[in-house]
Amino acid sequence: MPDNGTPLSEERIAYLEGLVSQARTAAAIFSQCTQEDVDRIVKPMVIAGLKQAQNLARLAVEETRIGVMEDKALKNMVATEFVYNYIKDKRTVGVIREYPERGIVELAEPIGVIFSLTPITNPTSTVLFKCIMAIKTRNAVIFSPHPSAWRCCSEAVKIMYETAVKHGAPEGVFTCLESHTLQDNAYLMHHKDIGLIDATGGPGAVKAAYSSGKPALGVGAGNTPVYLEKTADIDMAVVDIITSKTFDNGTICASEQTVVIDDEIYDRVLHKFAALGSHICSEKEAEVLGQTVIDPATGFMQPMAVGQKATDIARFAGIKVKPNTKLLLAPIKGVGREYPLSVEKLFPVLAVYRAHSVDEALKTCVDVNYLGGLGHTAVIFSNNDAIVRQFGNLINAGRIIVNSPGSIGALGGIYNDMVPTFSFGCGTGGGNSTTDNINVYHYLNIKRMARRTPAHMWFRVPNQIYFNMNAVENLRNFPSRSTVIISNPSLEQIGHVDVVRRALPPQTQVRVTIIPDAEPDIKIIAQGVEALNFYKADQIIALGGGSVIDAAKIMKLKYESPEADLEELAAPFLDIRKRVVQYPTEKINHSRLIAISTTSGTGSEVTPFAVMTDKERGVKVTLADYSLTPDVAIVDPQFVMSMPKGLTVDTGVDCLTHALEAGVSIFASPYTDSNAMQAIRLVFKYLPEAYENPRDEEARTMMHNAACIAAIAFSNASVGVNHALAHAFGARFGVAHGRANALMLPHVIAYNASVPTKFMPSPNQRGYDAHKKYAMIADLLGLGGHTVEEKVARLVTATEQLLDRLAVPRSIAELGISKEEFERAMPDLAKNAFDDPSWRSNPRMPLVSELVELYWSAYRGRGMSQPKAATKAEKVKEEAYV
Amino acid sequence: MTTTKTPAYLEVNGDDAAPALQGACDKLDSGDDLTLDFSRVVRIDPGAVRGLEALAQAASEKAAKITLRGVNVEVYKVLKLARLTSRFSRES
Repeated sequence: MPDNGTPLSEERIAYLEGLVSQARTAAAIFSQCTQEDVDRIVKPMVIAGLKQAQNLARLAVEETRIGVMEDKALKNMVATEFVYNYIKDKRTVGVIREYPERGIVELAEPIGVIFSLTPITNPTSTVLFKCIMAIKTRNAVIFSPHPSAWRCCSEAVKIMYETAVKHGAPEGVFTCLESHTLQDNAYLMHHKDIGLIDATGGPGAVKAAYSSGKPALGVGAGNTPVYLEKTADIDMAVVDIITSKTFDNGTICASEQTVVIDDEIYDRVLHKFAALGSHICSEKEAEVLGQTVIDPATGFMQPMAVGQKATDIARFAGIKVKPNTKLLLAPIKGVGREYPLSVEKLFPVLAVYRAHSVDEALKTCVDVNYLGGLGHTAVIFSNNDAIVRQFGNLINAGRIIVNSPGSIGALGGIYNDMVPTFSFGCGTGGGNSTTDNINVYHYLNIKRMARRTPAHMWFRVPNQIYFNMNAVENLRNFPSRSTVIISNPSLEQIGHVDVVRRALPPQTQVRVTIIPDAEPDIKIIAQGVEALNFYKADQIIALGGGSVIDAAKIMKLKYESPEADLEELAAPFLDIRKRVVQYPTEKINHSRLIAISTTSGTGSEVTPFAVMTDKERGVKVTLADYSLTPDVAIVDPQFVMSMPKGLTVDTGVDCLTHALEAGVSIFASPYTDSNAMQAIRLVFKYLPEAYENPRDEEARTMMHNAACIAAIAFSNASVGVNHALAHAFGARFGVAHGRANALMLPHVIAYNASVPTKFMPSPNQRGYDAHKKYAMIADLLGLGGHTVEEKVARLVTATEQLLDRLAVPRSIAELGISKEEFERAMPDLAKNAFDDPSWRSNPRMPLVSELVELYWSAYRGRGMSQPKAATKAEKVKEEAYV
Repeated sequence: MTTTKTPAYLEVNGDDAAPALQGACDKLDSGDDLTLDFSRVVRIDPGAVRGLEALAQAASEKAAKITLRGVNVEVYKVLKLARLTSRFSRES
């Protein structure tokens, strides 16, 4: 292809523009065709190609002086019949694949105009193949054949074009460049209307295609290693290799280049090759052959040898061979530039290497693979599956052909079920974008239409929940050989532990483990697990507030699965169903966990959460998994009748916050709503009564139920930004969780009810409805109001009134925290609140600046139905934190 | 194709638009406003695309304004692929 360095003339540019314009129009028209239209055109094209297979093969050999006519005819037939067999039922127009269970539909979009370079080695077969693919996918192609194969290629294009147009393809769908220069190719490669370059050919053409900046399929050189392992069927292997390497005089780039043979079979294999018409070169002959067919300056094969007969090549090199010699075998002692015959040789010369071990053989194959053959093709003959797999793992090749010929095997559809092709993708190793056998799907833009699929939801609760006064008596229904009660000192002191002990069946061996009344740490857990092991417990009863029940959950986990790594299990996650870490399912012990709550707030008796501290590392570990949920929950108000007022308020407000946040969570469902709404109703009605009349049995019972019901809601719908704010604030200033929640609650309701700055992504939400949910709650509470806004405002006011009635501090300032101290803490507060996973189920995604604003609203406190705008000075500080 | 030629209005009937478009092209005078009604065209052939290309070229040279009316979306996509949409005004 001449490159005279001169710019293209105006006439030449007009000619090239005309080709592109014609192809563009054809592609545009073609886009209207249906699958049936396309299939109606493809079939006669295939038949025309089959009919002309021999004629085109003869033209190709006459013009290129490369290869074997009979083999080229066979290639033309594979390029038509085998390709057709693969594509005939494939959908390439409109909807091509559907995945109803995933809500995914794939649709085909044609590329438009493809600029296609075709090689000298497989000229007409490549053209036939590409024409059929292009019509099947409704694309137009401008062909640029190798200059030394132009006549046969243009004839192949003409046959395909006339048949295609006759059966309905648009005029101009294929064109073939007249004699051309590198500048022509470069001009077209950079043309805005060329959608794809499909370059099959030498490294130069492929590199030019990829360098153009256009999407390209560039398929180039190979260097196929063959491992002939000692367990192979030698007769089959030798015939396959000869068949493949002599096919079209070795012009297929997937053909075998160096055969690495195990020492044990080396002589036998060579003898077999010789018996079947191969000439085994002496050391001297191999040296001369290398000097003849490999260019010493470049290290690449001499073009004059490409596709020539073995006898002719022997003649060039001055080697005497028998007249019917098919193949020249040249023993080599290594791989690399110093061993010329170890490179790619597209002619019937095969390097052979004697390997003295599997390790040496594999290393030699890797060396050949890396000497210009990366990503292309490799072959192994072996009946040792382990070695075959090892070969597959070691070799970087898009096609690893096992116990079959390399070239014909790589073409696909004959010796194996690979996709039939005449273009081999060589992956990144070969500078290509794919390792696939190029096929119709590479000639399409595949569009994926993804329908909204609601996430699977769940509603999980403990197996059994017993409630109302003296529900503890139900313990009699749980036979146990060895029960360990875990509780804390104060509950033991007031006799609650004895109440539980008495309720157990008389034959039960009962032990009590008392742990401190505080968030459990790793040492307490370890001691508890030791006790469970010592007593071989088959039942654990957690009697206490959240801390005790959480401790019992973690003890049970470690008792049943000692290998459980708590730090790993506490790894963060976004969606519990897709979490990275899985909780153990293998258990060496089995025990039943019965949780008896002695406060009316956390609801830990029904939740899948547990919190502990790791004092040594100074971190809090939060575990969340439904396997942590107690097996049985007992909600018996007798254990909360003596709860102090402060604890009643703190836990009660926590319960309200759980219910309100679960109610508007992005994971809320009708199942959780029913629980959340009922809990809210119960809290508004009974919390003030329980606070003001602690011995009121009905109020205590209902609040105890409310806490459990709210926990059922948030166990399945999670909480929100209120908890994130309260966690960070409570940890920093040592404020009880319920109290911290109370400080934020009215402000968070107002915040969530307003139009979000950022919406939270959630496939289950149909529009933003937090404000409507709050309005629904206001209706449930009978707060009145006509509009959603009015109802939300009344809910905020009602919440504030409830908190006032409970005498909860209503501003952070009231806690005695100075403004300066709060300002100093703000960067950490905002960061920690944003890091807290609680808000990830909040209906509104909080910006850090909004967290800061909410904190300041809570600082200023009461009467805040809307987050108040910060003062100018505060604003400056808020911005600094952000 | 059959066309009904009015001073500034041409109805394109579909199957054989090329001659009519060529005729319109020949008769286009400087400063003309011409509306081509594609309401009845469901599929467009290569001749029609070439006709539109020629018409667009003539309109550009004669400073005429050509409006395509009632082009269905499938045909519109073809005109888009052929880079013709920007060369005409459109009416729905």
